[in-house]
Amino acid sequence: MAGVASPLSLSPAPSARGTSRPPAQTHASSSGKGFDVINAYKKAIEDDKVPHPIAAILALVELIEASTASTVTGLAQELTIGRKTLINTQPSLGVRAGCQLWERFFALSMGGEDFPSYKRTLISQGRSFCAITAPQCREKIADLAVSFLRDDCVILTHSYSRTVIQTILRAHKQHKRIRVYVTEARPGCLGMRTHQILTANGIPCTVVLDSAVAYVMERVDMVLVGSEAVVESGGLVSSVGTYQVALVAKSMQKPFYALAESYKFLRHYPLSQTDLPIPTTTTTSSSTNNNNNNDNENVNFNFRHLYGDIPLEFPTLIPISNNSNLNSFINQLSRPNSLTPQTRSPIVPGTPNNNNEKEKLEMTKEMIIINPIVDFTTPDLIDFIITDLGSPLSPTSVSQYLVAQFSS
Amino acid sequence: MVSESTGESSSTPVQSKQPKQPKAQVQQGQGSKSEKGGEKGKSAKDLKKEKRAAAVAARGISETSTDSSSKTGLPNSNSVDSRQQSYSQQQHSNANSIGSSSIPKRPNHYTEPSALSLSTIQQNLFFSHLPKQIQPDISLALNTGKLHPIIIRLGVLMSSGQLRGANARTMGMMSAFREVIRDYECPDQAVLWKDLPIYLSPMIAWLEGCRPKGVGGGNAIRWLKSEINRLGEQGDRSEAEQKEYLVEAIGLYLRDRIEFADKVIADNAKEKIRNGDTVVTYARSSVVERVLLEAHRDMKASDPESGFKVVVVDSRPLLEGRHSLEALSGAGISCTYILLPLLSSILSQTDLVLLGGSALHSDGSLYSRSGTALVSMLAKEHRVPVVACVETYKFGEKVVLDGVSLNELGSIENLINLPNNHNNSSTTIKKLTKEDLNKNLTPLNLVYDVTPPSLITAVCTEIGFIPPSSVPTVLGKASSVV
Repeated sequence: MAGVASPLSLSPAPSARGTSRPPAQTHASSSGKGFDVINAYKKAIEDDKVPHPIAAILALVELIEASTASTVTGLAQELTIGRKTLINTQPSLGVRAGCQLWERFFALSMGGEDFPSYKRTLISQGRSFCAITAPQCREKIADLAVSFLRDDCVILTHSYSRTVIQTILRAHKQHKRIRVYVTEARPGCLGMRTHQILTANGIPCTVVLDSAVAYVMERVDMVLVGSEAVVESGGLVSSVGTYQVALVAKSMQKPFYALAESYKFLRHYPLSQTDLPIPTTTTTSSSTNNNNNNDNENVNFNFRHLYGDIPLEFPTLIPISNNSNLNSFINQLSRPNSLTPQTRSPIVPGTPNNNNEKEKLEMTKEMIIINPIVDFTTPDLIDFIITDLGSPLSPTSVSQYLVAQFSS
Repeated sequence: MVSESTGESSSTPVQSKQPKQPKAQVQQGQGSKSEKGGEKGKSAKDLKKEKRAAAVAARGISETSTDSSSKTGLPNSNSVDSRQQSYSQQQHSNANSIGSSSIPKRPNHYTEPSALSLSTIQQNLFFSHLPKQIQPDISLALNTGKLHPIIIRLGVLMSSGQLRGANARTMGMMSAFREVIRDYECPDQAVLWKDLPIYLSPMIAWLEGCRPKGVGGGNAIRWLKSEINRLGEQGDRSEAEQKEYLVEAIGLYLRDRIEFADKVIADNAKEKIRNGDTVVTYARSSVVERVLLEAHRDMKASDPESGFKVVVVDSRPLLEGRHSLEALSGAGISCTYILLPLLSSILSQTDLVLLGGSALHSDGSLYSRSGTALVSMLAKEHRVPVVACVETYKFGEKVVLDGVSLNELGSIENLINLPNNHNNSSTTIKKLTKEDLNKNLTPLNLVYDVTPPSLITAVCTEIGFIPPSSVPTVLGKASSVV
């Protein structure tokens, strides 16, 4: 599900986003001709029903509409700039998937007509894809997936996925008795949202702590999750925690099904958890106004760059400087970072304040921020990926489909 | 024994069945047939037979091996069946006549009885079907007049191991054939696209005899033949034009399928090497070397402080990793050099295993320098991702289940004798002599092994990273191209 991992889709106020992301603005202005791809993308994503890839495509279609280029190459150049801006600033991998899809569509449909009519067909086709084809994908998946849900079964789902909810609601309408465990999915706590929607529809739903997944797994009949992107190996990139749910499910031999629309297929082959093309905010301006923002998810990506590319890295600098041996020891342990030490924060992220020890120890905002927002579920843990391409696919056949698509 | 087997191999039923027989037997039948031709003077029928045999030789892949293995019986072993021994004796008696009188379409690599013991000792029950590396007989090849000198030279380079590595061999072979086509002159009554394959086939067979060309080379030859055939469809063009077309096409093939492919693979794979990583490589692979060198160059260009380490894993008897080590450390990459036994201790501290390969079969199994399977197995055990860098021209349509059915036998001189350990007085390892070998000892040096797809995390090709399970998809797409 597009909305799963990124907390962006949660926050309703676009103005808050605007202030919290100064780098985005600067990027957008460089995309040329005054058109702001980022804003278009954000406007598109405001609609709760629009997933990230589709929002990205919509933004690119709008870019074409606004474009003043008079040749195909000119248009292609503008598109490339717009695409890069989106990919480099937006944290969701779905954006990358959407951009790749549009790029391929653009390349394939090139030639033939004269430029104005070509542009018109591009725009109309892009719009119709976003307005008609994309919602159909989700319907189709729900149709396919609902047959997997038996009467009187217990489902474990992770975080919030529109496709999963739609599937469960459809099964409910078919008078299948279904009970759902949903994980809380910290730090976004999107699981609460799933809980809200399901209970409102009269489906028994219990929220499970992320740390209680293994405890509850023995009562579960199947695991159903959404995804942010499906990668070339057949694995999933989705909201953090999915990997551990999959691991627990595998070890308890519970079926693990993933739901993914075909526009979420991403051309990337991760070798490890850290090998994901998630952009780090490239600007060096450490925006201090983030603290004012009470919505901690929104702060997320602006803080990330302080701590390097990789989530949960050990800090290279330690405030307790009386022990230099320890310092160098930590240095050896942690992966040397491409960021030069100057750009790093001189303070350690999230060392708790020791002044008031009576207070309950909690993760600080900084501690949360250095955590990953998505993880990569390896294909060997997934039983089926249910897509709109037809009958449920094994991860192997998904990767075969992807290779066939992209190698052409 | 002799008379018995001669009767068997030259009896008419065997010959009449020839086309349906397995290739190896065709060869044997042919061998005896050509002898007879040499004795009686060649009839038209014999000539025809020989031509067909040459065609078979060009098409076939494995018969040379069987042929050569059967030619040289084990002097000491009783397990070799009588037919083989007698066959070898026949060959001995006819050695002179083959060179001069009849025209052997296939080269006969002839090993003197004295040289037999070392190179043929590996022919025991399980491995006798495998081709082995033997010294080709150059004078014999020159005398036939059917082989272009550049091809003979190439064959010698290949068999001596001076030209090693699937890419180097394929490039050498294809550029040699480019020269051959340049020098080729079509006979008056013949048509180029029909005559050229016949002209080339003894050369292909000679190269095959020197060293099996492998999947990549086989794909290249198949492509070349289809290109020649396409000339026939295209109709009237002058001979010079047709030759020019072929020469150009070979150049394009080498450029697109090997050189550019390597470049793209390097571009793809270097993304996976990050600052501070430790990368493991095994033996030597031109692609992997390129990946590492380019990754190093790029990393240094972006940040002089950054860098990664390389662990070059090597193993006896070839010790190819030393060449790799030279190139990598020469470029300023900090390297560690270990032999295979130490790998398990090192692996837990590494981030990535990069492997090259000779072929990737359609089930996704990697056919590569022996020891590769061991490296990947250990890497899997330590949860280190294994990336195989293979160009798509090396994708084979076969399915290979083990390393025994399809392999090569390497020379065992290096295997049984340590290269420079003689002075080391502390070790009391006795130097093995031929007398030792003539007893119940079978040293075995298989050149390749097969890494099952489950041990490979990803395959890096010029079309991007793919899982090993997607090889058939790529093959299906590429079959129109290859």
